[in-house]
Amino acid sequence: MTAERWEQIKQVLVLLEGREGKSREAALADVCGDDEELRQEVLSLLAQEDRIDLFDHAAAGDPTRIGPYRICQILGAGGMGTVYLAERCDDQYRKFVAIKLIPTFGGPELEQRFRRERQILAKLEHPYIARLLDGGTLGDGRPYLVMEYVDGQRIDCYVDNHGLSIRDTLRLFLKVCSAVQFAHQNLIVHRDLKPGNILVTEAGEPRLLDFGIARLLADSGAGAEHTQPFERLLTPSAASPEQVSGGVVTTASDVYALGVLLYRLLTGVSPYAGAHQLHMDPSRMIQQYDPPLASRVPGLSPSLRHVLQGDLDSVLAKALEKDWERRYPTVQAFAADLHRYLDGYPVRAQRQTWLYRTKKFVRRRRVPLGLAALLFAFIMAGISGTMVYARRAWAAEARADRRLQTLHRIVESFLFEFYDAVENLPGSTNARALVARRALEYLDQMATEENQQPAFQRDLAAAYLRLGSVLAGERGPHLGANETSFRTISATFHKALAIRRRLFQSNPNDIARQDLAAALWTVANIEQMQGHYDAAQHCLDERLQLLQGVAGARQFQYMIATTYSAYADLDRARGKWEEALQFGKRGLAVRQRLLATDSNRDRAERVVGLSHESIGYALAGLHRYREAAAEHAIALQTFQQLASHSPIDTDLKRNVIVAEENLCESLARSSDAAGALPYCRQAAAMSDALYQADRNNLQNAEDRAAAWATLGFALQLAGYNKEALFWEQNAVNEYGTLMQADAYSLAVADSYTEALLELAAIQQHFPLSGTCNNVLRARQVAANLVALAPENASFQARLKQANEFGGCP
Amino acid sequence: MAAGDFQAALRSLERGDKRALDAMFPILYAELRRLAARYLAHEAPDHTLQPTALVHEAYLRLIGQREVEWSSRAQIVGLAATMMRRILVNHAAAKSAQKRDWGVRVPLADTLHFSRDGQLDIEQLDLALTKLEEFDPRQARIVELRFFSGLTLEETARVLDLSPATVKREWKVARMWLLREMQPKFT
Repeated sequence: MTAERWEQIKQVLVLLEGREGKSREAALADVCGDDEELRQEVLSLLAQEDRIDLFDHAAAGDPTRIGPYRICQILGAGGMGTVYLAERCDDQYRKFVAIKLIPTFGGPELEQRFRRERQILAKLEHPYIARLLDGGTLGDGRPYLVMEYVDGQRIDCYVDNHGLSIRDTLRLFLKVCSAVQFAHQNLIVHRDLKPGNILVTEAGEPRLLDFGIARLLADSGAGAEHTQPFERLLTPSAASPEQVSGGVVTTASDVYALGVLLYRLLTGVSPYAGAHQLHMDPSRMIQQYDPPLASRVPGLSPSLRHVLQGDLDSVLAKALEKDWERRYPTVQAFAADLHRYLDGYPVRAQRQTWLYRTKKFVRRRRVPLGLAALLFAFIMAGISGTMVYARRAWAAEARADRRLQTLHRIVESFLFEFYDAVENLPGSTNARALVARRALEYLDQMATEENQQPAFQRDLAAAYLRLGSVLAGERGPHLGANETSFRTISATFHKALAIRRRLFQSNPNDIARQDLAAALWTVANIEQMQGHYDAAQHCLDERLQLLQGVAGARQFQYMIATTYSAYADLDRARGKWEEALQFGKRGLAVRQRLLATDSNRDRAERVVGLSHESIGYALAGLHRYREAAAEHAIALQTFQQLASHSPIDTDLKRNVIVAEENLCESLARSSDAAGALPYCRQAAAMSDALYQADRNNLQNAEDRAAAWATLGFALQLAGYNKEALFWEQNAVNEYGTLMQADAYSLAVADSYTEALLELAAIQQHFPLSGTCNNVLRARQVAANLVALAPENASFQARLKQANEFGGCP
Repeated sequence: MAAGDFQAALRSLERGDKRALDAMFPILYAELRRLAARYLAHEAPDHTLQPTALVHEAYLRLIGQREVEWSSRAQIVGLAATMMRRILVNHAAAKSAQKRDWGVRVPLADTLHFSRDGQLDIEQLDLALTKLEEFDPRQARIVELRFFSGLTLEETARVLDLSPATVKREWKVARMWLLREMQPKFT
């Protein structure tokens, strides 16, 4: 056969495409004319048409039986293996299951791993999740998983075929979210949420398939590096940017995949639809291509475009953020916004942290009522254009909350809703920055007015301090938004300090003295964090002088001890360990002296414990680990005893946990790994219990991450690298999650960096384990910290440590 | 060791040195053969050789965790497809020789399963494919990638830089032609 003749034959076949029977014969006769040979040739080829799927079966290498199951047919095939419909051979009744055969080889180790992981997945019981029933390994080592067989349609086909409305689609999607959320609570990330993995039954209920399978493969050593890069190579999917770039995969990756799914369900096309013409490499496409807003997808009907515009656009954009730290932190948050949309509330997709804090502090009535009302009036006058939103939101809130009975509470709620409304106005970033600026301007204006009544000035100082802490965030200064920069926070605190200095000078009574001391402590703190160590020292000096001026009074004695602790803190930050030790001891001496006569014995003992902790830190800095361990052991004993009196005091429990970690770390560093580990394990267990009791508390999550990180560190010193890897990875994941939650705390960022570097160090014991990814991430975070506080010595040291980490470019 | 050489060749390939593929060939081939041998040693009656798994595993072992440019990846996967064909054919030939010693000519049903009404003989397929290559090399290439490497339509389209629709059409015609070509061998 010549190439030309073959080309001709193929053209005829194309022309016949879609024709059957008589119509096909007629067309064939027509196109071939008197070339009978051509006609015969084509006919003989067409005769083979029914058999061509021989090739498919051959290529798949399909088994006929798997374990006790008989294969009935192929349900699908993909990068992760082939899925078969099968039935149990030994059953009396016919029960179908779906079996996934994974194309990888394994050994006994992989088999064992699979069995363990399967047991975890088998416990994942949720109405919208297809159960994992069984599993095993074929003779050649290919693992298989037996899953509940779901008779349903892919979710995208279902939505299209049933012509679901936007609201019904959202309701269906929310069911999917609830299943994903449930799995996340069980620490299982799906990693491969795509329409093909979500079926909808006849009854309209979704079923999620393959939960945790990707993870199971990833963790199986062979599987991970075996499946993912191959998939990365050939099939673009719902993978998140961090997944294709080999970054940390967290629950946020599932949020992204859900975003891709919802985009597809609402618009009918994938967010990457526009990118395919660009012929981009899939991984580059996922990392770089910015999908159009859902409402701007070409070809939508005007009414659909209208519905998508605004809230749904914002929600999708937030779920599809390339940077996982800017995405919804959890599936729950994503779902909550959709619920809000369905209920007619404004969505929160545009939330910014400090306003949230402001709202919180107003809610908690920490601001004097007079000021809150004035602030309210200022806002009313300032941005009346947003009132429609505020009123709508408030009306809904008022309906929902019957407890709004007093004027006071209405003002509070109104203010709260106002912030929410402003936050959620599309493109309201400028408006929000304006509110922040105006709030400051407002306070500044009040400060210069004639009204110098001490009572008002006191309120004003308190308001500055609160605004400062609101800007800084509840748990310390934040990375991130510009308006929360250190300079603004610091300036705000300084204003409070100036007012309190004046108040004290004009009337040096005890209250004014205490207030001024408190402001000095706050300012010292923020200066220290910025690395302005001298300025911090001046504040502490002034505070000490102020307190030493009044002899006797117990509360001032305690404040003096606190000042010594602050000095110790400052000296540790400066690396002056010997001085830190001396201040720790001085603080301890004062507190011990007070202990004998204090009626509040528990509080007195607690601060003694804290002094021991401070001394322990300084000794560890001096590499005197055995002595440090002794101090931490005393602290631990003290806190434990106190905690046994007050079993519900979570702060005390935190003290215990921290003391255990300190003790563990000191012992481990003094080469007593065996003695160290039980304390670390205990800390991990306790912090986990606290976390389980209140999962919404970020502090609990942070504490648990810290306990894991310390455990990982101690295990590494003890030579248990595998287990160390496990805990350190958990810690890094948890810190990563915290980084994307609303915290953005510098402390978290610094701990995150530290954990990343420790993880990288542990990973050096394992080939191909992504050491450098973690080092690079650490460098990035540390560089952000240094950029924010260029003079902070410990941030600099951390960045140096990250930059000098061996073996990475 | 082999993986190291492979990576070195890979770097040359990425710099645009087409000869690097020649350097890769023996390493990739050896790796695929090693894996196939390991696989076949475990062979049990309830399953069959899976080309996708082999290519997959070989690729990953040699590439490791490196990010590889798309064009290089496509070339390597394409190369692997050719090798898989050779390995499978050799294996089939060995098997059928063995079977013939028993005096019965049996198509390689135990190596590659086929459907209800007939079985495909891998050696015959290879012969037919060699003929197809003469007048439609691109179509033969599609068969290699689809059948011998187990790539999907979309993956094949990407490797060959064609549209999936084209691959689908060509793949269908190719199968019809191959089946007709092998027809006398069916009983």
